[in-house]
Amino acid sequence: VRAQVFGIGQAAAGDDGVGIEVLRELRRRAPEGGAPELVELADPMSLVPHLEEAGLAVLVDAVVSPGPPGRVLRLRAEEAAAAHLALVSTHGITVLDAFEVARALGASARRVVLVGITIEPPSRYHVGLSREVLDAVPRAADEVLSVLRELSGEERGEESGQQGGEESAR
Amino acid sequence: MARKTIRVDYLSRVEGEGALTIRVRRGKVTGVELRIFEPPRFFEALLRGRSWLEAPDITARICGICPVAYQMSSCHALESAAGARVEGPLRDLRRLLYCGEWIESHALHVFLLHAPDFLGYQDGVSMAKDHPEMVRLGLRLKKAGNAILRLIGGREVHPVNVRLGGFYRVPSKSELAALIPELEWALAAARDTVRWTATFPFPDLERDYEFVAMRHPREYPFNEGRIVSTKGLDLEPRDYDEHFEEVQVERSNALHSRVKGRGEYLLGPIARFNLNFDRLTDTARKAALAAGLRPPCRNMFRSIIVRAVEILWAVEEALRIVRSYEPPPAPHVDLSPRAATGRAATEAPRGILYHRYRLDAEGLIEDAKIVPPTSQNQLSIESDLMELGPKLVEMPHAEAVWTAEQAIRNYDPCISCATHFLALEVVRE
Repeated sequence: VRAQVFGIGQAAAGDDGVGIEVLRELRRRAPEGGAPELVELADPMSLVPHLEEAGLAVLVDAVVSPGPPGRVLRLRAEEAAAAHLALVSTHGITVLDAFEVARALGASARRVVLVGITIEPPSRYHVGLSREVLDAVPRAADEVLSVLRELSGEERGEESGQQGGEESAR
Repeated sequence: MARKTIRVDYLSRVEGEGALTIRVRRGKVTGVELRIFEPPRFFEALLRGRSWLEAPDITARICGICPVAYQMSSCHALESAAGARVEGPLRDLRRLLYCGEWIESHALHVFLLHAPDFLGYQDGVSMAKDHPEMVRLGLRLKKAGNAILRLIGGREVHPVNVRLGGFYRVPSKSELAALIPELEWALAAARDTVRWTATFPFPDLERDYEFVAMRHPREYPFNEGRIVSTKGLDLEPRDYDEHFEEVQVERSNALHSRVKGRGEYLLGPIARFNLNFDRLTDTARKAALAAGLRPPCRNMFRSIIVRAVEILWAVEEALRIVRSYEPPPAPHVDLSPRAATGRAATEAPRGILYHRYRLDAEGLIEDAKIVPPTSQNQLSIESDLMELGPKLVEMPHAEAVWTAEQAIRNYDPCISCATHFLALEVVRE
């Protein structure tokens, strides 16, 4: 099953660029030929066709939160959408809106997970992450790899369950 | 002594944060306040003391939807300060880049932000469930625009390949030719979009706007031309400050713009269409006429059809440039700074974007002024709502909020750019 990790953000909008930075951390750790497909996106809507095709998808994005910055959250995308998380948007459209559009167009929502890193609202032109958010990058990368292992395990479990079911049916 | 307040505390499907209050006394609208509370970002102050070479990249960060407009206005203003002009294939590539931005920005607004208003959906997500084929078409059109941005600009959002004098790298002929099949598909899709939007129900609201747009001797306007209006303005962009003024109002972090001695004016697709109908291609003109659209169009709700016509025009223009492209001998022309002030206006998707820079002899920016289209349209938006007011106060609250938001979205407002948007409050006093 095709696994894709999408890092969403703007490198020039301070901590909003954390999704891109997590992808860079995953690239540094990736073994030759064994890495999931890593896709950097700045425009959330360009995610829609990817989600219509993806098997397993992990969305890494900044989450604006009143709490301390640098916390790492993990939610199934449909849970995140229902929770109305405050993601940073382009023209009022967030990565979760893109997820909802993709789902409305028939994309499967079974294997889409959001790994969010909390940030304070970005308001100024600024390149680079704050200390708190930078410190969260390795933990967020760990979380992405953990999500991919679990999703792949679920996928394998379902496949073997289906095969077992077919065998029993025979 | 019936008093009523219609309030929208947060306006959705627009870029940035704002709110709207309509005050009503004895059934009459006594005031409309469009409040922009997105914090100012002080880009003009940030530019002071920086090298002129940095301006296109810094100003592009003002907006994630129209960064090309900021790059084009800054480049043309700074090149004007240096006494330079960019011609030939480099000029064509700049127009092609702008085509990409108009296509992706207009497609996003038409299909996901504005069409739901006309078809009775809360948002693009709920519309996608019932109209998946049109949403897919819109997303593919947007992608076609993004592909141009990626190729010419280096990436889809906040392009990095634009520099004073041209580009860091120019594409090969074969790289541009690879765009042709999708643009040919987009041409047919844009025609379908014009026909589709023309079937929408349009509220009846016509006003005597002063339309203001660029006008070029031969082309539908992007980067060059005079600033003209339907009430007699006809000026070079360098004379902008003599004819337009900005005023601070307490309720808004955006400056309001006026024609000096006259007042509000309207920029954007309808203004361009009304003032440049004869500059459209035959295909775009015929599509507009077949959709029942002819100048002067004074109903801002019909701006959605005009955006579709401009998508069609931009796709045709992109194809023309791609098919005739011969790579330039160098990716940019060399420029030398001088102590001077440069001014330029270009046509962003939402209307004229004016930039002014004062440079020292080393090319350091001493002063900068940026006037985005949404702040110039803000007075016109409020006047539309004043005109709609008597109908709004007769409507149930939810319908009034819906109609007011729709009227504001006619402008595809970009509040992030303007902060320099919407929560509706109707105060019945």
